[in-house]
Amino acid sequence: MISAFTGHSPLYRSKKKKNVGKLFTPGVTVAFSILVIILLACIFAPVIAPYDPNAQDLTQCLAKPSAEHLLGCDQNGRDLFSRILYGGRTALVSALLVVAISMVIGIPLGLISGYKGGVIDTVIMRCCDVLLSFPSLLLAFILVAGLGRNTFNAVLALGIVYVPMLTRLTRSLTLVEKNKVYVSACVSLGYSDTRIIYRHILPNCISTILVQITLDIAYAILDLASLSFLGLGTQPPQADWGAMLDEGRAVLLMNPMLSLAPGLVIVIVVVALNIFSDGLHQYLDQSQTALPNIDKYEKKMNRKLAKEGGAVDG
Amino acid sequence: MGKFILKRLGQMVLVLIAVSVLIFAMVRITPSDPVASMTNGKNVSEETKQELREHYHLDKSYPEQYAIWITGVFQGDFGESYTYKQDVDFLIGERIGTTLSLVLMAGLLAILIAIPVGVISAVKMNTWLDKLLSTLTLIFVASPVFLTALVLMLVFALELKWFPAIYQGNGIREMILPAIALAMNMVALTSRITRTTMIEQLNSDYIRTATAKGLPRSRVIVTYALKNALIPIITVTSVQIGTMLVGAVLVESVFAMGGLGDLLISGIKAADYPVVQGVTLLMVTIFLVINLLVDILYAVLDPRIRMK
Amino acid sequence: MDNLLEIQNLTVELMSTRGIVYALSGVDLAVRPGEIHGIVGESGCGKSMTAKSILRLHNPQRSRMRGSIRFEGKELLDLSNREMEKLRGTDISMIFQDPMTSLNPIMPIGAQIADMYRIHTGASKAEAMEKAQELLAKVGIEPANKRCKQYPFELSGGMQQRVMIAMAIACSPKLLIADEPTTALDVTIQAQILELLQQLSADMGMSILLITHNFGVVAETCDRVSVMYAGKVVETGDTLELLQGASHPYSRALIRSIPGGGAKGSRLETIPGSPPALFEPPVSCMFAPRCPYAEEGCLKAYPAMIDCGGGHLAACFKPLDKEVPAHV
Repeated sequence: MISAFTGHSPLYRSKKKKNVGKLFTPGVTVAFSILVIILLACIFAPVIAPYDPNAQDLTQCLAKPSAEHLLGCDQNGRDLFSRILYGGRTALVSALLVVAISMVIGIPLGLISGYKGGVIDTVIMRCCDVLLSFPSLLLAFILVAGLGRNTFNAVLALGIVYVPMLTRLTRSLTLVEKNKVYVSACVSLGYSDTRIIYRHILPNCISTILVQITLDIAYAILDLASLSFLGLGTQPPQADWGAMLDEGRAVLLMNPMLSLAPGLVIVIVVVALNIFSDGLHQYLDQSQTALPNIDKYEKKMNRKLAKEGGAVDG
Repeated sequence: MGKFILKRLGQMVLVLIAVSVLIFAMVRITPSDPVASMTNGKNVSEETKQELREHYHLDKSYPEQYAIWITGVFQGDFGESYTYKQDVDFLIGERIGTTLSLVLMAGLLAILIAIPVGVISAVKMNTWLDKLLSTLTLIFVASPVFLTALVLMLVFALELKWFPAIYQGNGIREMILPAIALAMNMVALTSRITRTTMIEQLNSDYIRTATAKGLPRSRVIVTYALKNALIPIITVTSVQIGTMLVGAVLVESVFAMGGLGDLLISGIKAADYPVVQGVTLLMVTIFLVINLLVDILYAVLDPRIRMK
Repeated sequence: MDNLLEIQNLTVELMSTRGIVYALSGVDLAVRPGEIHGIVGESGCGKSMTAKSILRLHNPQRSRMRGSIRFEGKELLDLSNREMEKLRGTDISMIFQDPMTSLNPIMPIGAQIADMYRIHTGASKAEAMEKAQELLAKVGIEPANKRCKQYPFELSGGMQQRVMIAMAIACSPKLLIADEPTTALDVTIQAQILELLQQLSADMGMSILLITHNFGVVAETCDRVSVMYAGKVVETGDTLELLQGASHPYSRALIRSIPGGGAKGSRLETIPGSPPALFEPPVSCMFAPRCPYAEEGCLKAYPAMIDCGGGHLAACFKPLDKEVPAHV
């Protein structure tokens, strides 16, 4: 029968579809695994850590790495490995809180500003302009100067600092969505503004916001570390990656590990978050996907087909 | 064009006034008595305290204090430091040279490296070279500026002893490591942006036209794609310079450079309001002036904005 | 008569986000000197792909071309990149669908034309600028000395397309490829642009390969026409002859779906089904699944071009007679 001819076996096509533009590419998988491992290690720090992060063993000052102390000890005889695990708790929880604060304030402001327009929009945007005329960390500096120096205030300060960028992003996305037909349809159906904003516009913007949020977590880790490094965030003796870097530099020559180890962990986490965010972005916006070289792709597909073909035929 | 600049200048002054109010309010969110920091925690008589309060206008209401500060600022008087007991404008004057030369050097270095790296990555997209460069830049994006500074110091100053580990204000050689440390982050971010924009531009219709016209590839890349790509690149770079001003604070801390950053941080720790206010306002002003210059440059490059 | 451009069995494969697309599978096309040759077909049938292939504008990393493209007897697929650069703009030039995005947004139009002229002729800046003004006048943009300092965004769509044409004819090419040059323009402007192209073709003896999805445009402008379907030319012939009696069922269906083509008051005819996605190399006639005349044999082999007389070619096992009604 003629109409039965489609030219393509559905199985063959679905396989091809999957191969380009999936979320968990090898790079993203590795990045995601690393993030999960580090996150779990920090959550279960009390179980994993061999020592109390603040216990001082003065006989072990600046001890080199050994079986008892995996990464050695700092100048106060505290186990570096345990401190990195506990420091991770401070750093990661703080970073997540920073982003949470900025989301809770920034996203609603952006949605309202974009959807309502008019005076509200102008007021919100002018406020953002003023806040954005500060280089971002500088704003955090003076907020901490006013609030007092500790972990919580650093988190609060950075949370506020991140608001205007997120507001602007959400606003610009809302402006695009607002002009689409489905919004007019909602209005014509008599839906309330709140319903339209949160049930219809927000879900359409959320994927782009999500990409930004994963990146913001990475920035928050870096910025929190900077604040702690300058003594404006987490205060000793509490363990925190940034603060540990600061403490370690006094003995940089004697045991560089004290600064480099927490530094390296920061770099790894931030790189992983960046790769994950990039992957997410490419997954959500397929037009951005970098296409593979055609010859390489064909070779790969042929190999795959040969493998699977053998299994199917045999 | 003149009208455009004038308008932007007017906007900038308005923003600066709002910023000054914000700075003044923010350092005072939690009420504290700065007298303690003036006397270094020593016990002094209530009379002396009162004298100090009067001297620094702390006995007046907040709006009055603000008015005194801001009128001073317009006359170039930023007030007197609580801890140094010197004029803030003098303290800034002593240190601003170090910070500005550091930022300038790092900025130039960054742009000179970042744009070629980004262009090469874009043109050689998905080759091993692009992958190598992308990996390197990703690492430098992720590395906090103070970590880069510490590693550079450890390797090139403490181990190899090619450069001094501490900045003492003697010549350009001492500035090299701090400038590289500060530049690397911007190199990474700018080259990534350059790569993305260049790829976008190279895929655009007018590049196809230029190619179809038979222009040589090199000319298509440089005079067509790069020139168009520069517009978004410059926008991002202008924000980066703000990041760099703050990054300088961190680098100064590592190399003990005694610039504006050290002044600011010690001011924050000592609740030295005049210092914090003065340095912050100055940094914001520098940032805004750079943004204004970038906007003008933008208009020069893009006729669509110039003719509006 | 020697053909100016001869494409034989051209195959193009492209990388897409959903795998390899077999965009062109065996295109045969010939353009004679001085003629206006139309390529017509639905979107996605490979019209623009053919055009871009002639100038080799595909990304070499993500595409593969096989077959033969001969221009004045010279094999274009064998040329080096440098030789290709020299040929683009001088012997063959091209204009595109969307003139707004096809012009460099931050360069004055005069400079864009002059730039191209200088590269190919080595003329001085002043000479090139003079030439640019002369060309602008030729395509009807006046006063040229003022207009040449304007930027693309200051011009209307029709004017922008005129600039594109001026640029394309700067070095008096023998072949101009016009890829949907009027699709983005208003109907009245469309006619002006087509008229300009016709006039330039006649004045300069330049062949034009006009790509369009609009049979009306073909009927008005083209000497000969090729109909494409699913990455292949299915029929070629004189415009008039083809319009009156297409041999390929697809061409005939396409002509019947032109508004105003049928009797007044009659329903517009549509072609049932949709063109196939090109994720696999074709093994049989691609139109067969939608063809009302298809038989068992049509699904087994790929039809070759057969001569229906007088240079009228059709790729069909059962070409329609002129008398056969469209529907059985």
